[in-house]
Amino acid sequence: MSLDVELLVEPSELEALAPEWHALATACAEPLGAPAWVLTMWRLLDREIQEPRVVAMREGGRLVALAPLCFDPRNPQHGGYRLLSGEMPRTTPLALPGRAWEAAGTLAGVMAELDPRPGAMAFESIPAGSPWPLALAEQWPARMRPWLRRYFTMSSPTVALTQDSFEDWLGSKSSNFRSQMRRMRRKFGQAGGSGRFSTQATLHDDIAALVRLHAGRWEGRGESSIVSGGAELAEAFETVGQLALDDGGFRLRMLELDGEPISAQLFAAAGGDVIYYNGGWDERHAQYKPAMLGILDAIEDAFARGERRMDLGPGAQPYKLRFADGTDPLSWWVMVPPGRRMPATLARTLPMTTWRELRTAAKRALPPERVERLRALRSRL
Amino acid sequence: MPEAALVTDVESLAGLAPGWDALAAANGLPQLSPAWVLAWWQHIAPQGATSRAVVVRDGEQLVGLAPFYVEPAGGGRRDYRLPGIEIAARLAPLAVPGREWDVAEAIGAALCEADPHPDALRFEGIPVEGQWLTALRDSWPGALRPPLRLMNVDGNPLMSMKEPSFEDWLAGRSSNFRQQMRRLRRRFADAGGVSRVASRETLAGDAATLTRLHAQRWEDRGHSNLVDLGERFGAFVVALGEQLLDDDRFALRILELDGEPICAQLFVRAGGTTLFVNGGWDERHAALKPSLLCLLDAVEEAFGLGVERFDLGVGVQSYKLRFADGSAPLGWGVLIPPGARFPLTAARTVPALAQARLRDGARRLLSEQQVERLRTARQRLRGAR
Repeated sequence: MSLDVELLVEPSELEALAPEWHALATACAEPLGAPAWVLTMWRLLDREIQEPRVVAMREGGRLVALAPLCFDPRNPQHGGYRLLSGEMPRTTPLALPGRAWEAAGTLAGVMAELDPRPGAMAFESIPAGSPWPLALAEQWPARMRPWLRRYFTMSSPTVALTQDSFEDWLGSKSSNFRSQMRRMRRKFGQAGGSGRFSTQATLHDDIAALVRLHAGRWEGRGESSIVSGGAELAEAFETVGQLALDDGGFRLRMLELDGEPISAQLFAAAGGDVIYYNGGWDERHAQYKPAMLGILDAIEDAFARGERRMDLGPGAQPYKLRFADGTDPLSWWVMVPPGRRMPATLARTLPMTTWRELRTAAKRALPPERVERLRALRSRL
Repeated sequence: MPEAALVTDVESLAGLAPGWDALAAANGLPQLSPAWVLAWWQHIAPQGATSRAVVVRDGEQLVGLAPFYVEPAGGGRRDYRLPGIEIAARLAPLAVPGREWDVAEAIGAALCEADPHPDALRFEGIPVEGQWLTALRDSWPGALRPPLRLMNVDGNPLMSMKEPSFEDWLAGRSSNFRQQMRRLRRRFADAGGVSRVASRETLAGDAATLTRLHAQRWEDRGHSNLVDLGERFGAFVVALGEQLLDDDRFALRILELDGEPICAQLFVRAGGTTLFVNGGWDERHAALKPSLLCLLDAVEEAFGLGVERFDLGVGVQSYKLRFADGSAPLGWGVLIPPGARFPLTAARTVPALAQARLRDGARRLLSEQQVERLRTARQRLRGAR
C-alpha cells in the first residue's frame, strides 16, 4: 500500500478539491473538517496570514486522506505549522477508517520536505483519541525521533443517539430529566415561545442575532472567539450557512418570544455526527433555560435525520452534562522535529507547554473553590 | 457517575458473562470476551496470578470492565496486566462506546484502593488509536498524573469489509490478486485439497493440529509464545471453541490434502469484528500457499456472517498485507501510578525504555535489510535460550 501525494497551495486548487474533501469529511464523520467550514473560515479570516499546505493522499485516484496544514507565521512558538483554521473546535486531518496511521507516515515524509521546513507542528483541539500526532512522530523520517508533547486536554461531552427514536431516548433518561424537559417546553410554549431552524431567507438576520446574543452573554465574563471574531466571523458563518445549510451541514436553532430571538445555537453535522459549535441567549429569559431547550430541539432533529451522535463541544458546563452520556475530549499537542532549529524552537515552545501543564496540575492539586478563585483573579487581571 | 468494584475471584467474574460479552461485542474485541478470558484463566494464567478485574456500573448497567490480573514477580513487583498477550494482542479495557473517560476515571479510583497497590499498569498491545492511555493517565485520581512510558508501537493490518459480498470485495482487488487467488484455489482443488472448519467432534484433534503445525513452522525460526505454552494452548483453544463454536464466533479452519492437515488457522469473532489469532502450516506444501488460501476462505466466510472488520493480528507479515487495506497499530507501554514504590518502579522501567529507544534509533539509522538481519539474529538468540 502506498499513497500518491499532492501538495496544494493555491486557493483555486483547494476549491477544486472541495467535493472530494466534503465526501471524505462525511465518511470520517467530522463536521468541522468539511471544506465548507475550513476553507470559508480560512478565506474570510486568515487568508492574509495563513499559507495553505494541504496534503491530499490518494490511492488509485481516490482521496483516502487529507491533511489541511498551513504555515502560520503568527504562531512562532509552534514553529509555524498548524491545521488550517485551527481556531475551530475539533479540527483534525482526515483519513478513511483504518488508514490514518499509514497516511500519517506519508504525511511525515511530505512535511519533512515542506518549504519552509517545519520548526514545529501544532495540533490544537484535535480529538484526544486521534492517532495523528503519535503516528507522525513515530514515522518522521529522521535519525532522531521528534519531540512530542500533549500539553492540554479538555472534555467535550457527547450524547449517543443509539435509540430508535427521540421518544425512546427520552424514555431512557431519568424521570427527573424527562419531567424537567417537558416542563420547560410547556412553559416556553405557554409564554408564546417558538423554535425554528434558520433558512436561507432568515440566515443573515439569525447570524446577527447569534453574534449579538453571544456577545451579550459574554459581557464581563472574559474572552470569547466569537466576540473577538467580530464582523468577519459573522460573515464567515453566513457564508458557511449559504454553502452547507441545505444539506444539513450547518444548523442554527433559534428560539423566539413574541418574534424576538432569545436564543441562537449553531451546530455542524456530517456523516451522522452533529457538533454544537457555540451559542448565546438573552439572560432576561433565563427562566426558560433557552440553552437546554435549544439542545433538546437539536437532539430531536438529529434523531429525525437518523444521526448517531451529538458532540456538545469543548467544555463540561452543567447544562451540557444534563444531556451527556459520554465524552470525546480534545487535546492540544505540539511536535518539534529534529533539526538545526530544534533547540530554539524548544526554547520558545517549552514555556507555553509547561505553563499549560502547570495549570492542569494546579487544577488537580487544589480544591475546586481555590481553582475558581484563581480563575476569577486571572479573568480580572 | 459510574461506580467501580474490584473482582478478585474468577468465579465471580464468570457471573458477569452476559453483560461482559455485550461489551466485548460493542468494542469488537473477541480477545476480551468472557469465553476468551475465562479460558485463559483456566489454561494459561501464570501460577500465582490473581484477578484484579475492575467492574464499572452505572446503576444496574455494566458500562465498563477491565479484567486486570496481578502476579507476584521478582523484587516484589506488582504489575497489573490484561490477560492474553501470550496468544493475541489488542488488549484494552472494555467500555460502552463514548464512555471510555467515565470508565477510565472509575478504573483509576478502584485501582488506587486495590490491594496490592499497583506498581505499574502494563499495557501490552493496546490500540494506540483510542482513548485508553490518555484517559487512564488524565483521570487518575490525586494531585499527580501518573507518567506514561510508551515503549513500542507495532503495526496491525486490518481489512475493512465494506463491500456487500465476498465477490464484490474480490472484484475491488487488483487483477493480479484475483488471478493469484483463483489459481491457488484451482491448484489446491486439483490436488484433492479440502477446506473445512472444526466441529465439536473434530475440535480436540484440530486444536492439536493447530498446535503442532504452529510449532513446526516456528522450529529454528526463533521464539513463539504459543510454542512456549505447548499443550496449554491446545487446551485453551478447545475451551474457547466449546463456548463459541455454536454461535459461529469461533472458526478453526483446516486445509487438508488426502485427509492430512496441511494448514490450521484460528479465527474468533465478537460483534462486527473477526480476529485472526494465529496459525501454522506444513512447509512441504509451501507451493500451495496454504496460509493465503486459508485466510481467503476465512474472509469469504466472514462476509457471509456480516462481519464489518477483519483484524489480521499484530505484525505486518507480507501475506497479511496482500489482504489488508488499513492498519490500527498497537502500543506497548506502562503507566506508573504515584505511590511509595514509584521511584523504584520508574527506575525499573528505564532499561526497557532505553532498549525501546535504541531499537527505534536503529530502525531510523539502519537500512531495512540491516534491521531485518538484526531482528532475525535476535529471534535466533531468543529461540536458543
